[in-house]
Amino acid sequence: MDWEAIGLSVRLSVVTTAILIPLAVPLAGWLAFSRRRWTAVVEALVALPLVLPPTVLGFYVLVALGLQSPVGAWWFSLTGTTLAFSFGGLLIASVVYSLPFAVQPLLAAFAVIDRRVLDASEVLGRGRTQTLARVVVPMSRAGLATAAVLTFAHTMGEFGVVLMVGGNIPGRTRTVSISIYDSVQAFDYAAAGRTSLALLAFSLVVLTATYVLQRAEWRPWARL
Amino acid sequence: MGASLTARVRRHVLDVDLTLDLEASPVTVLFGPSGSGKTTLLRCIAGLDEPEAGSRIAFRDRVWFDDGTLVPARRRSVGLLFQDHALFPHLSVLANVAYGLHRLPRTARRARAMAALAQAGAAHLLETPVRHLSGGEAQRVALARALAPGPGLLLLDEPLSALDEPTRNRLRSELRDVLRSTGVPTIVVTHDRTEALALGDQVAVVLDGRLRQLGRVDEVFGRPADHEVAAAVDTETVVAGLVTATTADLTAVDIQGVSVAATCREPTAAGDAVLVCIRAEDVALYLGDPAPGASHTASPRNRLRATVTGLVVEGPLVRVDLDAGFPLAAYVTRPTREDLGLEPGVAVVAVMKASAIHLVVRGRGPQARFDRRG
Repeated sequence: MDWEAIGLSVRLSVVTTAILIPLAVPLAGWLAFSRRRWTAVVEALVALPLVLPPTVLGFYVLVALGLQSPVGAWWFSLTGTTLAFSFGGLLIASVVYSLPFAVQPLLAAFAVIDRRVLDASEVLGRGRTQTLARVVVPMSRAGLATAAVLTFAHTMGEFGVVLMVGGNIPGRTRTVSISIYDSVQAFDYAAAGRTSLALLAFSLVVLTATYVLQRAEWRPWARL
Repeated sequence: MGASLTARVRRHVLDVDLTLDLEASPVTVLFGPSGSGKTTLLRCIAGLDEPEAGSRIAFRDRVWFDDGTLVPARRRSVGLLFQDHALFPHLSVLANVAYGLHRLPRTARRARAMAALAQAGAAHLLETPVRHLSGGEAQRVALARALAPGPGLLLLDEPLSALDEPTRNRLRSELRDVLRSTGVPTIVVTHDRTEALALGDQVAVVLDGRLRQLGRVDEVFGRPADHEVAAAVDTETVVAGLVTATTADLTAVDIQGVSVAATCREPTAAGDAVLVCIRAEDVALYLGDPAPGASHTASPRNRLRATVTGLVVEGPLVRVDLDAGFPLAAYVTRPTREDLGLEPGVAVVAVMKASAIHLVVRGRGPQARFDRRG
């Protein structure tokens, strides 16, 4: 079994989740409670990775991070390294790719909160940010857990985006799914089978644990 | 500058121009049927809804909404009580009440929250999880939460209508006492006549988004401005009275020297100040006493000698205004009016069942008076 690839995937998933949840909470809060009309456009942008082929997404991320792009050039002048084909590049791609998996469960959880509870908070002297932190988030613990688990699991299993952005560098960008693909290409079905089984068991355990912990609400697609 | 609220509010169908003197009449009732726009008006005053351009809202000497001015809800220091209480389910009772006290020093919050809970009669609920509170208990905690920060204006949106009847009756008199003791200017939105009569010093009738009548409760309910207001308030006679005696089944009330027997759902005692409400449909007129002498040969307990003072034709009915020692109204059909020869000055006997006389308690004990100004 390719322990190096498993370790890399776990590391990538943990960091992606840690970055994405703090980003997704205010974004979902704004989408759920803002009265502006163009929230629909932002919502569509957030959901885009769900329907876009991973290779298309990966292609654009690759172009955006390359030396020809302002971002890539700026990063190179700062660090002397390229973002493409690095763990950092992989991280950026994963954050974009898993965004809907973090935002949608939060939106679903925020949508069932009684607006009058939020009104009550406002009348009692609290602003938007405080209401989000003190009322909305504590009332959405199940949605928060769902968002974290889905983000983690989705990043663990991503393939196309990783292949486009990260390539296949052992210890740096070769994740579990790429390792499996490699084994199959090399006709090492035994290795591919072992790693696949490990990934399958892991996914099943994580999802079962989530279902058990929060039988209350599991509606990540309620707003799709 | 005295406590006054001016609200010129336009939003959708709502178009209201309202000036309230909250010094003389601390509790104002916005009365009207569902969908008349009164909750929208309340939400605009609270700052939760934004009225359209041309609107203006000012409380005391502060402008809350005007062209170019919008004070957000969190800076208006109003207390708002929602119909279904809207407590924070993830917080304890104490944390709910202390939620609006973040500007107080940490050490002072608990004491203030406890005081507010005691004021709202909810001190015993401190240990109860919010999810286990009954409707009435939750409403008490919500009232404590609204009172705790010491609001300059209290807004109650249908405060009792989500509760079952016995709880509503009990809480109504409690709420009245709390509002009296705090002295915070209050606006109550309700479509419930009893609630309006029990709580209000003055009442503003809102129909189809328009302010139709503003005045003291007994004036508005007793002398509606027109037939639409009359239909909305649904009571023609409202007069102040004093309970003189009670038995298990009947309450004797003195109205300007005239004694009537009534039934009352709330427990009453001698000396209580009440509003006596009689619907004109429930008053029957006789040219002579239908049961002279003996007092118990007919089922209606009240037979009052009265003189006709005026007649108003309202559709198929004629409204007969009477002087029975106090102003009283009765409805008769047009043929009945012809047959009885009802004209101003004619003496009649007005007959009402005790169950048709509805009492709303306004104050307890011998000192209680309906009108605190006079």
